[in-house]
Amino acid sequence: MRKDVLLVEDDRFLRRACETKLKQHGFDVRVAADGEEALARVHERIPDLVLLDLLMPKLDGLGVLAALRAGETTRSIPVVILSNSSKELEMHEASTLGALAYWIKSNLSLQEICNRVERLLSETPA
Amino acid sequence: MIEQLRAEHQLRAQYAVVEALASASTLDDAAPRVLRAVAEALGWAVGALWIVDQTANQLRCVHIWHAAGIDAHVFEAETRQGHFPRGVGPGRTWELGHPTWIADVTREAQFSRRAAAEAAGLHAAFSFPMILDGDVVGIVEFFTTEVLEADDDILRMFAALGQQLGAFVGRSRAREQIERFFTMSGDLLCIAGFDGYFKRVNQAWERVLGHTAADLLSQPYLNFVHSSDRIAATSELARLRTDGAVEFEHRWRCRDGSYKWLLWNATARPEDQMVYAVARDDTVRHAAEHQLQETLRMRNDFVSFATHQLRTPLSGIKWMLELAADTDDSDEIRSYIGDARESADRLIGLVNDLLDASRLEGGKLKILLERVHLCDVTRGVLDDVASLVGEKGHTLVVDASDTLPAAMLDHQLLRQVIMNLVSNAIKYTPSGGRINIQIGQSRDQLQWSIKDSGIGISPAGQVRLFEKFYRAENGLTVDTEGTGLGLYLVRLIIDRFGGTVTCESEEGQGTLFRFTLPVILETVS
Repeated sequence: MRKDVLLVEDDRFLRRACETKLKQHGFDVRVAADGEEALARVHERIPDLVLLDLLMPKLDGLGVLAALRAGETTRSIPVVILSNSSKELEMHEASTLGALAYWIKSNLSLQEICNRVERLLSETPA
Repeated sequence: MIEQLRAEHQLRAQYAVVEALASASTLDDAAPRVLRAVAEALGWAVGALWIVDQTANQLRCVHIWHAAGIDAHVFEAETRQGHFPRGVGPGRTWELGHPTWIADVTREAQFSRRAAAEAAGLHAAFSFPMILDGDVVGIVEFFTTEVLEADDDILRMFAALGQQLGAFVGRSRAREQIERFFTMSGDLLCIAGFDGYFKRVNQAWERVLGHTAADLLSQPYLNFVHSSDRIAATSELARLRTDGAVEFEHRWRCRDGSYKWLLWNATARPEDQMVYAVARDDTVRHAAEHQLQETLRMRNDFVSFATHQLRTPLSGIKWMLELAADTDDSDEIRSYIGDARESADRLIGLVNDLLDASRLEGGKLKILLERVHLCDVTRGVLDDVASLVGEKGHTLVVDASDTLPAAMLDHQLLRQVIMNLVSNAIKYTPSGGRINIQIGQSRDQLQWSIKDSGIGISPAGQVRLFEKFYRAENGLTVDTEGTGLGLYLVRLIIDRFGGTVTCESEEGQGTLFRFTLPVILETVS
């Protein structure tokens, strides 16, 4: 079965690029452009993985992560932070909230992101 | 028998003087008691005490005493007002440096207060110097109603008394000097008891904190310490009792309710249950330190936010090129490259904004002043955004006065201001909105405003709107693609031209941005 990845990204260029590549790679990809939309998508269907941006309108990534961790059904969704911010405080908080990893967008190619997602999803039980 | 009586009187006089000196702390206090004690013990009528005024180099009367029944008011007035240099009047004893005796002052040609003495019925006089470290510091003189020949016993006795009085003057001067330090010190000095109350505070307390000494002494001093610092203060005081001396710092409440940082240096004397402490107002240093931390924090915030803002379009370029490289479909390639170019434009826009902000902040941006018409600049901007306005279906109305004067401004910078405000209004107003621009003049100021029918900005957001990299909390107004520098630059530029920029908004009611600029007409250089 194809893995369901939720990509949360407010920048339309980055959203388009990442979505295109993940789909080419064979993932089912849903997208959200802000934190509130992300929670709405999650509640429609629990994804296998969330790729979560931090700096976003309405509700930022850490807010989304906290909300997911507080929900009975969303608590154990694997979440990877995919951000261009490298504030130590945010990295620390993300890890405290149980993010699996913290990736910096500009340091990764789309191919590397796909490979990493692939690896993560094969490690986590479906 | 008479000898015995006299010796007894002298002894009584000496004893009375010792007692008077023991109970007084200053010469002003001691003088009346000493004069009275001696005069009464010896049965003399009038006594006066003089002090050497070092600056004027003459004697000044500290006090004059007379027995009941003596009408010496003229003599007293002359004595009080007299200023005798060395060698004149009582100044003779000063010059000689030892006790002197005059059998009858009314027959003494050199005695300047002769007439007054005669009127008061005074005849014999003796005086002796008060000596401190070998120097005459004052003179004491006594008068009696009889004519009396010199009495060596009395003179000898008073030579010794002069030493005692001189020593007293020395002690009280030393005390006054210490007292002066205590009073004048810019630092806050205090003596406090182990019972938690101040016993003494100097005037600096009132100058620095505003509390009177009475206020400070009336309640436990911990009451004046900031509530968050009280636990620390209590433990410092406990440490003071065991260690003997400590240094610490906490906030103290001022009379006006504000707080000041006091840096303390305290020493305890357990044997008399007292704490002697000096405090310095350290508020300015604290504020500077706080300011420095704040500056560092802001710089860090700036660097991390700028990093984020730069990485985002860079990631866009990188990823779009990666996608373009992976496909053979020329339409797809063209589309990816188009997005990469747009990201590159955003990156350039951001870099330019950062550079402009940094130059404006440092006052280094080159400004080209020329005759500029606000209406012309506005028209130019509106031409550029016409298609965007059309896309969103906004109605844009310009209401401009025809008679506006041209002002000396930088055309490019003014255009940047208007472009920022206009594109914000277009962007943050939901499709089909109304945007009104008004351009006018009020006295010597040009006024330009733009009102949109957008969802508005919260009061808290309005306050911070013109900050660097501020993004309004209100979700719909967050500019996910902007640089976070637009309104900050608007403010910097308007500031640069001596104008003001403000924002009025009510959530749900739209937003009004207004800037004013002074009309600076062309000057002949």
